[in-house]
Amino acid sequence: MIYASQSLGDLWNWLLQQFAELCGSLGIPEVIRYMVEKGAYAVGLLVFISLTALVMIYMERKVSAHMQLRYGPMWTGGWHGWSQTIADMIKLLLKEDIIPDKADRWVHRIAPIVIFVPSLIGFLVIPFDKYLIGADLNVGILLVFGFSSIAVLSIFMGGWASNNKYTLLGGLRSAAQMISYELPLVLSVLGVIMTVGSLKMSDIVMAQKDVWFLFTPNLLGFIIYIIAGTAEVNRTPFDLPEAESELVSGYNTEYSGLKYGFFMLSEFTNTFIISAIAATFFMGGWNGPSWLPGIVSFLAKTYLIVFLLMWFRWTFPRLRVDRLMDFGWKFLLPLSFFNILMIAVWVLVKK
Amino acid sequence: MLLLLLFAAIAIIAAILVVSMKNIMHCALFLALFLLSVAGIFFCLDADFLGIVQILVYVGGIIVLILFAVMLTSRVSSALLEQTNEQKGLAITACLLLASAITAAAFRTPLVTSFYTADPEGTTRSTGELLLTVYALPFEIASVVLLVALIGAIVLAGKKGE
Amino acid sequence: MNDYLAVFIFIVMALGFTAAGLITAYLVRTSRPSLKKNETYECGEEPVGGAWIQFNMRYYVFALLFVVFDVEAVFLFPWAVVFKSFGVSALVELLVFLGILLAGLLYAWKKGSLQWE
Repeated sequence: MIYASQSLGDLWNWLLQQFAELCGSLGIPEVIRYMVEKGAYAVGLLVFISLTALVMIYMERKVSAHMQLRYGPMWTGGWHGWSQTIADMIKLLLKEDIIPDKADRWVHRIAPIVIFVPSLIGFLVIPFDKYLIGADLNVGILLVFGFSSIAVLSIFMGGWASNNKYTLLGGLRSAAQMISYELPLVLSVLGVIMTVGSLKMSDIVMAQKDVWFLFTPNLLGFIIYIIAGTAEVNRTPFDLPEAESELVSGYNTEYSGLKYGFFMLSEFTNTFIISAIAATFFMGGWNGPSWLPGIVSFLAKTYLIVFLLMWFRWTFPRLRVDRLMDFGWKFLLPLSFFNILMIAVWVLVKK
Repeated sequence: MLLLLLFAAIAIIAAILVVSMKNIMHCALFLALFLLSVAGIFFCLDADFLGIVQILVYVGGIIVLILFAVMLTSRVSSALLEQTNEQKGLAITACLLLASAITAAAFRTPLVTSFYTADPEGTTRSTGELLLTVYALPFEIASVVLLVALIGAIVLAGKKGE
Repeated sequence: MNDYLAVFIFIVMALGFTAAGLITAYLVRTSRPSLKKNETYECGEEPVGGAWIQFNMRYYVFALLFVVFDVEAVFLFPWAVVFKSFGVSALVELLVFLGILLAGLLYAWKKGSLQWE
């Protein structure tokens, strides 16, 4: 029975149990049950992703505006311009789809489909609440990193297929930058994995029941993670792949309509995933005060990181390409090796 | 089992397309699809760590490397390539030899249908334990191999200045 | 039950979602192509030459370096999982492993391969 309805995670768990009982009494095979469960979770996530994108676009506009001492959308779209982003989405749906004559038509079409897959896979292993996780896989965090490397491929495909100098330069730069900062990103979470001794998301959250890893020597890993994560999702100050003053809009210059929409959508979902993983690995995930439902404290932490990333955008100027590469290879990479050694010694001393 | 066959079918079709497509960039992209379906086969066999490594290293690293290499070949990415050359006969012989060697090896090895371990950590923990005990020396040698690869890359890079 | 079935289901759902979105857009959007509209965008100028040309070597070098360190990172993950139960001996193994690679990184640095010029 469900009582007091502690949180969304408990509700989901209760629903799963009811469904399992129903399937048991009807004699539905376990494979079908499993597929229906995961499918339902995926549909829920798709709705969540769409809503999150709306919220984040609105937030980006408002945060940017207020940091520049202006209001942002105010008069169009009702109270504080709340419906502006919804109108934008409808506009994207109705826009004409232009494929340049010189483009590689099929690769151009497939790229925006491919880029969305890693975004949804990333959400699969994010623990929103105690029972609210798509699948608590053994490889956990590696799944996110593995599939995010497919996003590199998709951006490259988009940039190359458009057969445009700006898009190709944007795509190449993006790929080079993403692979360079993937190393510090992957290495920075190793500290946490060493302290916990598991790749599973649930184990990592449970290990932070008493103290967040942010307040241990893993703080250095957190800083590396946030910097590399900002670069990984191509946000300012690392937004060279779409530097509008030199490359128009980067790899997606030749895209319009919903295909452009998918590129933009996955940019926001990737920002969310990076923030959510930071919240899970370093800020205790859904752990929080007992009177607060787990999902609320999780989303609060995630949006705090999202806000931090937006704050970066209006604080730091864009880097130059050579400095960007120098910073990644000559500073962040050695620093993350140092971080691993430091955490290793710390774990041993604590033991 | 059904999924395993599906991934195997995708892998074979993608592999055929890799060698038969005329545009070299399409070849590279089908190679990515091929490597992904191989990862799918690993997952079907419960080799979870190996599967994710396949995606991380091959799709995320090697394919990007190949794409950059294609970008290096001037004008080839837009040109349509010849599918065959004079060394046809030699190539077919080499392929047949290789195929028979692989088939012979495949029939001699007992087939493993699952790498499932009762360990809740899947294959990651057992891989780690093996790396630190039985295969400690190969683990260290792997770093030497990587070092050699690194120096090779640097030597290649050094050439561009001349 | 193989837990990775969920990954496959999610891939299918993601492909379905994007395909459904694109089909909807195809049904509702306008389409009035014209010769000028479908031209490659180059800030309004007549496009000069194609974009599929030879690119710089340095991208390739960084991709090579990335593959090397990516493989190294992959080796470190199973190591990190068992690190706590092995203790000092694992640390020694890591020091040797990292030491050899860091020597390589240092060499690349001194040779100027990490320079983006």
